[in-house]
Amino acid sequence: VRAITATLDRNDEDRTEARGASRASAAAAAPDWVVTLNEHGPLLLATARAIARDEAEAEDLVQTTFERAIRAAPSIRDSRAIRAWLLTVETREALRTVRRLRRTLRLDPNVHEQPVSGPETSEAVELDEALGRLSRPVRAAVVLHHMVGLSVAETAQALGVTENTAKARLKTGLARLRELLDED
Amino acid sequence: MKTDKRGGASAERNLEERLAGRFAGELKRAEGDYSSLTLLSGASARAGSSSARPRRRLWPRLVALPVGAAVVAIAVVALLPLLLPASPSVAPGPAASGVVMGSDGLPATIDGQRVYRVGDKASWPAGGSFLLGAFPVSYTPPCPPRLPSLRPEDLGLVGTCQDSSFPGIGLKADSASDPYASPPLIPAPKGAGVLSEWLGGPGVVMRVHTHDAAAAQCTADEQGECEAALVVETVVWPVVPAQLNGERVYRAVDRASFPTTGSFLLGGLVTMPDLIPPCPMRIGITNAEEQLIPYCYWAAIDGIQVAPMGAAMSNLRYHSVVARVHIHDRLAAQCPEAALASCQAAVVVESIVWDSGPVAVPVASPTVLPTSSGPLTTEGPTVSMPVPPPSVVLGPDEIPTTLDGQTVYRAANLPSGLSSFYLGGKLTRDASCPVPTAPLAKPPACGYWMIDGVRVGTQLAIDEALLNQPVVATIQVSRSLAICPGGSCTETILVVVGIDWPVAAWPPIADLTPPAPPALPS
Repeated sequence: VRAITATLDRNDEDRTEARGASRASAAAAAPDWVVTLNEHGPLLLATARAIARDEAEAEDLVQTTFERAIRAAPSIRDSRAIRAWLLTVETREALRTVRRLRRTLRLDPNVHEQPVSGPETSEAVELDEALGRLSRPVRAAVVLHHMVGLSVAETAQALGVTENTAKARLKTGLARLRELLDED
Repeated sequence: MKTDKRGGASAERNLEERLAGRFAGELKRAEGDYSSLTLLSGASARAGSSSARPRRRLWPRLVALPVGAAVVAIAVVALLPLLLPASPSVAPGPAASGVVMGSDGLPATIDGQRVYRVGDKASWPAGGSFLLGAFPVSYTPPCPPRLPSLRPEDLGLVGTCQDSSFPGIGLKADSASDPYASPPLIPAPKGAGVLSEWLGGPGVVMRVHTHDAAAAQCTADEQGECEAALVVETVVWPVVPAQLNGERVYRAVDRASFPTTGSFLLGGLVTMPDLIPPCPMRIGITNAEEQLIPYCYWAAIDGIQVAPMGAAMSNLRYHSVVARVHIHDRLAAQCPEAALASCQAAVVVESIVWDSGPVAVPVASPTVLPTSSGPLTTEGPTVSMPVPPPSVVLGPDEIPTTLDGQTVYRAANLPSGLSSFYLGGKLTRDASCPVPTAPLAKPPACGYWMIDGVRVGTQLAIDEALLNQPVVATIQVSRSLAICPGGSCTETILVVVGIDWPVAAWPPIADLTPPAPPALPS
């Protein structure tokens, strides 16, 4: 399993680095772009933690998002859209990662890495546990809309689904959360 | 607000507030963590324990990307000879003198030898080398795990995308197809490096072979695949002559030894990128800089961007040419001190003296098929004015309807399907926002030129005297990457690559004498 995982990682890195080398070199000369990314870093990290519920994967997601952004820097013209775009990249990567790993691994959804530092109150623990029991696509919808504050349309775009599908996931997510919180 | 039997609107609002509050706490924690964040490698994060993970910082990795790319490029150049085919031993390719073109824009025969196509795979010769015409593109196929790993000796013939030597090159049968919709033929890593300069551009004819001698060393499982591997030996068409009438043809790699006095021959492929972002107008530059220093994405010969001043190149895109050029143009003396070196190094095209004709690419520019593989002219060191006056037919509004026999389009009848065309009309400015008054770090959102009311990107500093005057410009249809919902997408833009009418009065090059070199200190 480790060998397969390592092979997949190496493939991804080789391919993406080869493809993106020219763009990356162009972007390396744009310090204002780096500043822009840094401004969005905490938001991306918090969102990744909420969706992935795994510290290592969350940091990986931020890193991957930044790498893609660096490569796309020369083509990005509208800085106003950058926040939603970064969240879109990160969310899709989060969903893609699960899809990719599921091809080779059977993940136990109940096993999560314990956060280094996490919720301080029992209420927060309760909410986090409930969120953790949602499926990842539904959780991503809830996180983006109800926690990050994206509109339904932006959430749908980030998930790569129609607005109706996004609304359905949000409805399902809230209903499931209320059930879980009521049970507790 | 929707309600349900278990709580109603207030319960739902309460849950939403809890979620928002929870995220506010997470965001605060992330703000504290982010400044000292170290990030993990993907493999270690998934495969290792948290305590044993090697950690590395994000920005050094990102900064290392271009550096790493440079190192990889150097390594590829150094290792390229090792990847070049060693067998079977073949004579050098034909000189491409007897070329009969096929309907797909690639030669059907060269010196009487059939040029096979990617689609003819069933009829390829089973032994020895043969000619193959195709369109090389950058292509990485879907990459399923392939275990166990191939032996190193297999890798030259049967590459997988897991190998560092995998070339990421595909050979398409035609210029228009999308390689990710219709998978191209993937050549063997061995020898594929010779295609690297042709990716995404013109079609080429290669000398290739299958049944490489190295296939005998492959494992039994891979034997069939190794024997079928297509090994590229060399590109035989289009080619640039090494000399014309005894005069050396310089290439880009010879740049350090370009003659600094008089003219010389420069050969190579004429390129202009497909992807051209709009460029801000240049403000505050001298006329000499404007005419000598290529700005934004300019035409290039063999990868060297040529000076805007000089022979028109827009209709020579993807032609293999030999041009008579010079550097150290006399106009360089008028450049400001800071730009003097760039002005002196500018390559000014005086004339095109040999043209292979258009190489097969999806370009609908008005060009002619090759009829000659020899020099069109053999001009001496003295040349006349590089751009002959165009033959013009004026319309009722005194704007040309044709230029050199080619249609001048207007806003009302913009062509579809042409990548390059003439656009005529009054030159105005997009007045939807103030015109930039200083050089811009980023392309502006407005303030572009307009021709006949059509917004156009600017590749060159257009003479202010032409404002509100009728002009005819060569337009290149291009694409500009933009951010769209759900990812990046493209928008089509029209880019001015030259003002063709009224004709700019360039100084006659024949009268220009390069400045005398400074006297050596005694």
